[in-house]
Amino acid sequence: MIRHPFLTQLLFILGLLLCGFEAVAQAQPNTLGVSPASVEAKVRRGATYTQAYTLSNSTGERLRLRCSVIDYWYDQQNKRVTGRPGTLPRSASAWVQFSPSELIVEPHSSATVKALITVPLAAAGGYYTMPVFEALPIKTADAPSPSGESTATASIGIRFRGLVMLATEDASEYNVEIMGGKVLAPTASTPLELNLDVRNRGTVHARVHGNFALLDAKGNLSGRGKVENGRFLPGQRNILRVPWAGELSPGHYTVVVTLSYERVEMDAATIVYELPFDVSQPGSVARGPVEAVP
Amino acid sequence: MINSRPITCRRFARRSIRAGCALALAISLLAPVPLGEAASSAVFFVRSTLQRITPEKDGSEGAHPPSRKIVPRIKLLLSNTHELAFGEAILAATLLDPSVASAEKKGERSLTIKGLSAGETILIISGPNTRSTYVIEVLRPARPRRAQEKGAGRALPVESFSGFYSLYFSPGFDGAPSLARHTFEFKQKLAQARTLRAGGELFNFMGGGERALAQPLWTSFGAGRLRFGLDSPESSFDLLDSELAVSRLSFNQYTVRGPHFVSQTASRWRGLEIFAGRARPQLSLFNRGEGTLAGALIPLAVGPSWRIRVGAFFVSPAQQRETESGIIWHADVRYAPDDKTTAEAEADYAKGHLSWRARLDLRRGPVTLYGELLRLDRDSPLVFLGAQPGGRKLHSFGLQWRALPHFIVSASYHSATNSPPSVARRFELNSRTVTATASYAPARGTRLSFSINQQELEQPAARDIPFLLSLRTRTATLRYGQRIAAHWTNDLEARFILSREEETAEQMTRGLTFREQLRYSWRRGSLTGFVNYRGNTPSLTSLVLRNPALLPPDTRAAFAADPLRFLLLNGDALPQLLAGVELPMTRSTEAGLRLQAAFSRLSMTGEVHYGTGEVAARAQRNMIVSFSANLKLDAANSIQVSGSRIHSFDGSGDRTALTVSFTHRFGAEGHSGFQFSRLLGLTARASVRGRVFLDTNANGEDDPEEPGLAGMKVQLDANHTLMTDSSGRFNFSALEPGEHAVALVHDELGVQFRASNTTLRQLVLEPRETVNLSFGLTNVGFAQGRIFNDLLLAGEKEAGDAPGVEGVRVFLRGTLKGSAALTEPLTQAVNASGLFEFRNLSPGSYILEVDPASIPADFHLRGQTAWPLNINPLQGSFLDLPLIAQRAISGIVFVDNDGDGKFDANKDQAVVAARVIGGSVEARTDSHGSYILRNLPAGKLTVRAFLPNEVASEPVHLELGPNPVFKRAVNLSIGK
Repeated sequence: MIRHPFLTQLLFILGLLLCGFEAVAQAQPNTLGVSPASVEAKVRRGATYTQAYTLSNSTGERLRLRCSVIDYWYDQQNKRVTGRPGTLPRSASAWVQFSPSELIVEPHSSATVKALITVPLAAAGGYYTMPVFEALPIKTADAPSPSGESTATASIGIRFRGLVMLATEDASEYNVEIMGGKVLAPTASTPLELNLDVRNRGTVHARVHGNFALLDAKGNLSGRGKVENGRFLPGQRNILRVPWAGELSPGHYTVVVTLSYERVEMDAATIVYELPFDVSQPGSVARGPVEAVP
Repeated sequence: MINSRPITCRRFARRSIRAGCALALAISLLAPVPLGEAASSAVFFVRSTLQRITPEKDGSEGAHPPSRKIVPRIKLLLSNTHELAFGEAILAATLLDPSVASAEKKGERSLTIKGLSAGETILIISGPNTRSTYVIEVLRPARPRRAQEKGAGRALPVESFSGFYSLYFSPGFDGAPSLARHTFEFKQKLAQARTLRAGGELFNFMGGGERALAQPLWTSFGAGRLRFGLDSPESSFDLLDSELAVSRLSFNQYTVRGPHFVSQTASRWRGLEIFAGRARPQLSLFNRGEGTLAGALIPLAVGPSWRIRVGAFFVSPAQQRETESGIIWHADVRYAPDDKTTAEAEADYAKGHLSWRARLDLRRGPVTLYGELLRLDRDSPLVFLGAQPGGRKLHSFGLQWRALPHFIVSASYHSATNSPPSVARRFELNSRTVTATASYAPARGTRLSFSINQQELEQPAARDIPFLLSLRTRTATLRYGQRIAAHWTNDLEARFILSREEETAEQMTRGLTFREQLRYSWRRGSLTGFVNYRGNTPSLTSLVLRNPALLPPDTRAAFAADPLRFLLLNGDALPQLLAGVELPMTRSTEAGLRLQAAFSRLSMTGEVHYGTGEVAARAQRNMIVSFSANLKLDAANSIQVSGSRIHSFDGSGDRTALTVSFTHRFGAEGHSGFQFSRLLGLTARASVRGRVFLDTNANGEDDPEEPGLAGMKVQLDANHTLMTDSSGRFNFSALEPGEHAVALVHDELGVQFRASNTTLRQLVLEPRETVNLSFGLTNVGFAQGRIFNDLLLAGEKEAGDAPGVEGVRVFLRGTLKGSAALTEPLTQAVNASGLFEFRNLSPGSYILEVDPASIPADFHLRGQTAWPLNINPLQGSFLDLPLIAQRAISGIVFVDNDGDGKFDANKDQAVVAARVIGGSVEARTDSHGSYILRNLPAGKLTVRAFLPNEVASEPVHLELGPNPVFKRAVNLSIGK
């Protein structure tokens, strides 16, 4: 028997490629999508707005999509909670009317649904709601199977959720404050950790981001970093934890933190907080660049 | 400013507090601010000082007060700098993002910040005791908007015509004639962006009396400028009076009556200009007579930044002599490569003599400079009919240097040497002026400037000048303006003057002028108090007194009769005689109050001041009261009244003046009041009508069967509102064509009603167009719920995460109580998750029913099959209905005689009346030892049997699924 090692290897590689292609072909997106998933807008009181959602159906099924809204808020552990329309604080669910509220999306196509948002005159501050798009396959007519046997089918509904965050113009109050803070000085085995107790006392949500600088006793910069984005709904209070992996020589330091947040029709606001601390023992190993580790 | 370290020195703290209190008290006493404000400043200072000296707890875990202080934000343009002062010596300045801006120490207590790239960064400045944080925002300079962009989005004109008519009447006082003057302007837009315009001024003197310096006219009726022309984007054409602006050397701001065509450089005519007609200078007292002129200006070559033109002008004065008329050949060139550089030159040739002018304007960084040279031949025909009163040589240079952002120095030199023709009726004096100025603005609203000026005046070199004059004046001026508080501003000017008049041997060596003005302004007006003092200053009045030959011959007789009265009556006209020279009185002191106020329709000014002075060695004291009021009757009509009364305390008599005028604007916005255009039928109105309807099917369309809503407020352009009638209709009529906004405004939107289409419509109305639009509202609610599988049989009211039961049919019926009761019941079969939802329900009472036949096998309701529901506007009613799945087990309780764990009827013995317990369900065995447990919950279950003597069986552990189930032969064995 004559052996052809090269031919064998080639056939093996071709086989692998074919399997790979097949796997890729089977893994083609067979999904549903909604765009935009999140809407953040400033609105005028007494006005009506239209928000279009594009629902794309990449599956091979005809889908019936039902559009509705639920409330969106947070609990005492800062976890997201949802509720029926009008049951949670600052609900904008009653303002939203979908047109059409129910539609059919053909396979491998997309459709658009409009959400008409009516803002009451008495609204003030931020309001929130969560659009829900529920997709259910449409059962075809009771056609007998080719073999004449009865068949059993199963269908699975898919539910998408978006988010709508509205801030009323000239009726929103912004007031983000740093309630307190704590610095854990770096040691040989632990990084510096900055904990900021941040509260949004305003009537509208705030996206908070910031910077911090580590200044030595003479005010010179010893390190700096960023405070990652955090979203605070009205009344929400949370701890922002910012680790920093650099090392500091023994001495007295001050960390100067600035937090900024955008405001509708105003300049962004920036607040500042200072925390002095002492480093008594040097960090033996530098654990990273002079940048914050999120 | 954030404190970082405590100040332990208490003595320093106490001294700071005392010094602060003293400083605040001093400020409150000296500065013109309310005492309460000063006191609050003192309290703030003390509080901030106390905060600063509060010791801080040691350790990082110490409590810190909450921070909500907004950090100051400094905005600066890219490459620009900003000076920032700090309260103490700067130890360190840190920029967190040095690529955005740089900070450079400038001295011990200030920084220069420069914008490097667009973005935002944080600046921290540390001092020995304090630390400050700033946000530095660097912006890109705004791009200049192109012409097209400027036009984009601009509101269309509301009417195709515009303009005004004004009637001015001044009754005669003190023997002066009354004067009535009519002024009008009218523009009519035509097709293809063309505009037809007409305008003019007619006046009529009524009654006899003096007319001051006015020339004795042969008629009391006359016409000022009359305009009639057509504008298009490419050119403009005038038939009557129009302005010539050919060049500064030839015709500049000069009026011609006759055809005049001007084209744009970008048009097919490339800037061609042609004119011909009667020269008609402005109706001023000393201009020369009329004449005839014609000319053409042809663009020879035009480039993107340069232009060369040639032309010819023919000039012929009305009373011409040979030397005064002729043809002028003209050429000019202009070069402007950018907005920082402009160079232009022109030359005029006539009768063998050349006149020319050249000018250069440059702006380079902080330096701006210009220079201009001009030579005009005294025999050029332009002198006799152009805008120039005579031949002249002009040198003019200027330089401005912005040394610092708030500090500017400038210097200029101006020299004019005149050579009037022999027939001149008026003369311009030769002058040389040098001015140097330094201006400093340390803060917003505050400016300090100092300037030095030297001016030399002398008579022009002509043979028949009737007087000799050589006046040299040096002036030093200090000005200081400051915004003291939010409403207060103060302006101070002090001027010291040294003068010498050599030819007439008058030696007026020193003069002093002092002006002080304190102004309080509020939202609707301002009140100004002022004091002016002028001591022994040279003036035109004194100049005329010494040189009466300066006056035109026609007026010298009146001057000779009573020089003082002549100067009082005609002082305002003297600057026209000698332009560029100030006109103060010889010596005077004035003090007064000036009030300006504006209310909704009325704006007014008033002034009262007392003055004392000396003119021609004669003392004067007078009180002047003047006022002016403008009342806006409506959008198109207004009335203005102004008057003054001068009361002299020295017996020279009182003078009164009063003028009344009426102005009407054509094409003004507004629907009320008298409108000429409406009277003449010129308006082409449009209208908007429609209705507000209850969109019962919530499709946003105004379907015929949907009822109208009465009493809804519809708003037009934010200032006109209508309420809908009983059928929900509204109608805005007689609207100006153009852009309008119509909105549905209702307090209950989003509360009782929800819009089913947009509540704000932007419309562009064409003339005579009627637009129909409707606003749809819904007040529907919805009912929603789930038919769910009550897994634990706990009687849950809400479905939670429990699985739904598919296929159950529900009905919704209206009740008689509901105003919108359904005529036909709605029905729906719930989906796989058990969800039912009835949308677009009118508010009212309903009954929800479940069709028992549709309930799947082995499920059942707890007895009730109908539930009442109340639907509120825009609200949802939720009702979840639990279905109970049947889960049951059965078996036999036996004594396992053979010990095999299985029931054998022959060997084992069934137990009677044993208790069988599974979860919370209990049963007893029958005589055969059999049992059945029903209505078991889903989940894990332990089943046990107990004999009457409490002997228990072996437990059996089961797990029941969510679906109905019946497990048999779950036998329970009891050991022997």
